[in-house]
Amino acid sequence: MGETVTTTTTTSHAMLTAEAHRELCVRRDRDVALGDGVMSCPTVPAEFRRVQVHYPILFRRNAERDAFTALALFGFQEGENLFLEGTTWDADYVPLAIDIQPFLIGGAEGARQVHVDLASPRIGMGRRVFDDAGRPTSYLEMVAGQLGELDEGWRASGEFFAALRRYELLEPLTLEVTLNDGSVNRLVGFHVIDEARLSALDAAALGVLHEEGHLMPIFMAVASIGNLNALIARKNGRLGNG
Amino acid sequence: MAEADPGPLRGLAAVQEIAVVNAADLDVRLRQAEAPFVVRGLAADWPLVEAGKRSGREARTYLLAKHRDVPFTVAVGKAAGEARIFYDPAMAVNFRTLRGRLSDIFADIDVAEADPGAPPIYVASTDVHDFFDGLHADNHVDLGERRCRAGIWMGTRTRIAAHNDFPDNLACVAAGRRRFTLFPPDQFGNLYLGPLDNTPAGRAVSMVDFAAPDFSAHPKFRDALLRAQVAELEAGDAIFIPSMWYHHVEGLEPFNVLINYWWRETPGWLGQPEDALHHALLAIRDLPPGEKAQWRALFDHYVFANGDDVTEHLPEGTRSILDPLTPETASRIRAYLLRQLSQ
Repeated sequence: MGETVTTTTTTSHAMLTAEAHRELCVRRDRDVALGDGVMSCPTVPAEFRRVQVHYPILFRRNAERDAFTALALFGFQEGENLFLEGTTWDADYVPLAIDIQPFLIGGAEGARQVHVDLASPRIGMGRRVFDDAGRPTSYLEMVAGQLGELDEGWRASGEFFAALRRYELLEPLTLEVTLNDGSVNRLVGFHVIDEARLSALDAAALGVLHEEGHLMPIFMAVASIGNLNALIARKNGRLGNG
Repeated sequence: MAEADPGPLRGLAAVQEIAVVNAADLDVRLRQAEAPFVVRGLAADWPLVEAGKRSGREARTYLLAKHRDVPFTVAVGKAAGEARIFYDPAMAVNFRTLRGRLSDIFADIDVAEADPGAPPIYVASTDVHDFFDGLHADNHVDLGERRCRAGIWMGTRTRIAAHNDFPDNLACVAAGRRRFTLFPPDQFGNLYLGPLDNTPAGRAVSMVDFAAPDFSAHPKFRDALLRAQVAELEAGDAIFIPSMWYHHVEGLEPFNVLINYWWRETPGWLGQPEDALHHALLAIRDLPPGEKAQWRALFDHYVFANGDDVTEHLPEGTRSILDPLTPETASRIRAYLLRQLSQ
């Protein structure tokens, strides 16, 4: 899928097979040491409805500047995950791109395979991926479903961002947050939905966006911005505890 | 036709005309070109060109059948019968920008094209893929591996002041007729450019009125004319305008359509030189002369000369953004600048 967040500095990807990985176990708990200390993860339009319950959804250009990615935001600086408290993820929904770790999608389009990052600190103990007979466990079946959803979501993202561009619905966001201790945090380089442009769309335009399946995720992204205040409160909470 | 009269700019050199045999040939010509060239009939087989040759209205009908129902941005001149897209005497732009349905815009053009006194109406360069469905598939030039921005320009008679663009540009007249008057990039001083920020369409334009040059106000324009090249294109003809060449463009028929391709030969993740110029105005220009001279030397060292002496004393792997940029190091610079500028 090309956009997988890699939370480890070294990776060693292999196609997952019952023969090679019969004994493979994966840690499902949450910890900075397991790679969960990230300020964001990619998400896809089909997931926005679930993501917006807890997380702000922002958009950012990739390094090549030729495509946008949607991101679920967990913090205000690199490595800061304000939802991670020790070994607890303080939200009842963990975005797919985090939850699938250490698995990723490999193979060519149309012949996708489950790959695994064998260098991930999650490898070693925890949940079995195959049972003794080499059958996938319910855990692996769940992950395969999540990977399939993300893969489909990536492929649909191109159309989604093309529609946002067509209606000029993205605008740059510069967010400056002054925290309780007086320090200033800035979010730069992100985009959000341009609500004024969205409100100005006529019924025909909204009809087209709805038909193409983009309207719901657009409004979910708009709604998600309300979570910025909660995220700032989390940050202030950390300051209080620190 | 009066508009076909080149007026005071009679006798300029003609843009070189070349023939290309196929896409590979065009590709080589474009890569090797150091000056503009014209290719007659490059787009002659486009259905849009054929429709436009029947009438402007048929070209519009063809475009309406392919357009997406999204709001288009249209410019409407403020002064009746003034085709020059420019400034008013108070240096405000002499047109209004509105958003509307393409069908409504074309309905206005149906009326305006028959009336020589009507103000110009035009849809300035608009993304072909975003605003049309299937237009590109049936009407495009094969530019190989180039990642292009395909734009379409549609409108009544207009005269666009000389300006330049950073990307390379292959422009095809799809309907109507156009005159291009071109100048090499080094002619900026002889073209009397207007403000960098207050512009009709994003680029500084020449303040010289090409229809009636005022040589007492703009004497160096005579020198520019010595370097000028002109080409008049019919529907189906194409012109290559290299990066940074100035171009004055006239739409000569009651209805004109241009489809053009912009690309840069350098990676798209590099920054925009125009942004660097603005930043230099902000940070450097108003420094005292002594400090400016120091910064000029540093710019020469890091940016313009960029010789081995910039990095050879640093171990490999520690040179960071002083090494040739990658998408990752470029985004690091961009993030740094965004952060610095937002403080």
